[in-house]
Amino acid sequence: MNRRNMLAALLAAMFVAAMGAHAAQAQSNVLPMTVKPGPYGYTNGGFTFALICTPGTSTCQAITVNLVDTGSFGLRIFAQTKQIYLPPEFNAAGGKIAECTPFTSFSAWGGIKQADVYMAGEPPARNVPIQVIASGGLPVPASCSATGPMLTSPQQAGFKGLLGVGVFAQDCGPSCAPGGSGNPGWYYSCSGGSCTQSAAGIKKQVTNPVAMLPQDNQGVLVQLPAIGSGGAPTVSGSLIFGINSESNNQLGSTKVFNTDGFGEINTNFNNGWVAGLFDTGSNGLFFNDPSIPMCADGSGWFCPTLPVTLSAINASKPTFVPSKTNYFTVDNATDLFLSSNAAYNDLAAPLGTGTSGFDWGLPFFFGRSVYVGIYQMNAAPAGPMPFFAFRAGG
Amino acid sequence: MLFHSALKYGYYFDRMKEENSIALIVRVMGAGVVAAVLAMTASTGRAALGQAEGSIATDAIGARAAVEMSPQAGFTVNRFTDATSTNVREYAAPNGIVFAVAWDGMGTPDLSRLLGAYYGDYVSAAAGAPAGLHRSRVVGQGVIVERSGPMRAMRGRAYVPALMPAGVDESEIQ
Repeated sequence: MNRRNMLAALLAAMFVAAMGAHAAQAQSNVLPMTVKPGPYGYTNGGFTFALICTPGTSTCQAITVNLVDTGSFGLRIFAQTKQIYLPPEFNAAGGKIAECTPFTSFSAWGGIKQADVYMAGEPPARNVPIQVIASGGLPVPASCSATGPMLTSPQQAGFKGLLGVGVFAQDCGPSCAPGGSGNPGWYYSCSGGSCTQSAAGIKKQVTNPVAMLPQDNQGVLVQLPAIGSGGAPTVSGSLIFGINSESNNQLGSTKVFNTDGFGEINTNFNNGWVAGLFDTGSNGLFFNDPSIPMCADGSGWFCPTLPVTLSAINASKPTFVPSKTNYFTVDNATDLFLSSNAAYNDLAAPLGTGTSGFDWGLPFFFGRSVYVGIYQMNAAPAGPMPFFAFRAGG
Repeated sequence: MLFHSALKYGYYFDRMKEENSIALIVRVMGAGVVAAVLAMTASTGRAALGQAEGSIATDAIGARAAVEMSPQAGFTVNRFTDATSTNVREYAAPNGIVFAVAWDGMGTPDLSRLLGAYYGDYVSAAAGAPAGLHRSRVVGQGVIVERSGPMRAMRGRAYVPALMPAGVDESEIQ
């Protein structure tokens, strides 16, 4: 058995074990996506796994408890769980590239490394730039620690890996590249034990591994089955690679909603248009509605006395065509949490931040097939612009 | 809101066409804001949350555009774009005290500078709050910090309820 075959056999064994009873129907572009508490107790998190290898070798490790996030781009792991050698990415000046990655609860500091990434039965994405969060030897620069709390461990995050499969290939893109306008300062160049903000070339930036697959690289299709109003202990769904590339990822008549350069669509809730996001990386529906009571326990979730059914209009950006009204229900979070479920359909909270957005977190995905089309990776009829598309039926 | 939307589209075209959008953004700002544009170059102290407004320019170190002051009913909004191209707004009460800051962009501003004495309150309260990748709300002893957005469109605001001027609602902090 040669290296390639050994690797394929290992991956197939992991895949079959994880798919269990579904293995017979599995296609090579399907990863299981499971909503479960995970080792750190996570509500409404959709987890999958991947295999990463030292580039060009069969020295590999599994990344389990890998949170699927359609609101970010690229694979991130933690130094604490990294077991194999991954070569660093260097910039043209010979500095090691590191990143201060912005999330809302924290910034993630760590070096950029190369890995071969194996997902489902796909041939590998080679030399993918990934981030190793909290990697030793690269001190956190003051300009990064000034952006808020820092992410330092899987326990803090609630996951061991983050698989960002949103609508862009690179996490930052042209703004962070040399000569880009309005550099937001995510990337750093490290040498001699210190790191300074520096541009990073497009091909050196953390990259959505889906965009680097040799095939089925147009994006992903997230399918989660519908669950009851009280939630479910676990939910078994699928993360399917490619769009219009296999029999199981056809768009058909599903309407395409383009996003802007930030990955957001238009959403109208209570007669105001705001930025909308389809986001498996957030565990509730987040929007502002002062008429819904908050929970008395201080948890920050909505706690209506009786469930309330609301609607919002989602529309393509910037044209507003197509558009579609989507209905959703908000239930009393304190009552929901009396169960020991890990998945909840009717969990919601205020977005905060003024009236600036509507975050359709994981509850939106239950009972739907949601396509995430990567910018410049899709041909007609979807076209090159980044998009989301969705239809009923998970 | 109109102002905010217009600004976003400035960035939209930047990302899609990779044009230099700074000039475009400045044009949009000029057209959208009916307010005196005051170039402030003096550094006279700090203007962090809870501090006096008189030295907003200190927070705008490395700013890509002049600080704009927009007087509104009950408060004044001071706008600038920081070194990470983040749009920052500082809200000052009639007594000159900054009671809120808000920001949006691909970058994250220097929150230790903008939140000033309240930064430690934020960081320690965040340690006990639920972790969120694209939405978080942290209620500290004195400050409330809310952040949201996908990784290319981060938005946030921080405000001190005890410093809010009478008659001003937190929903006016955009």
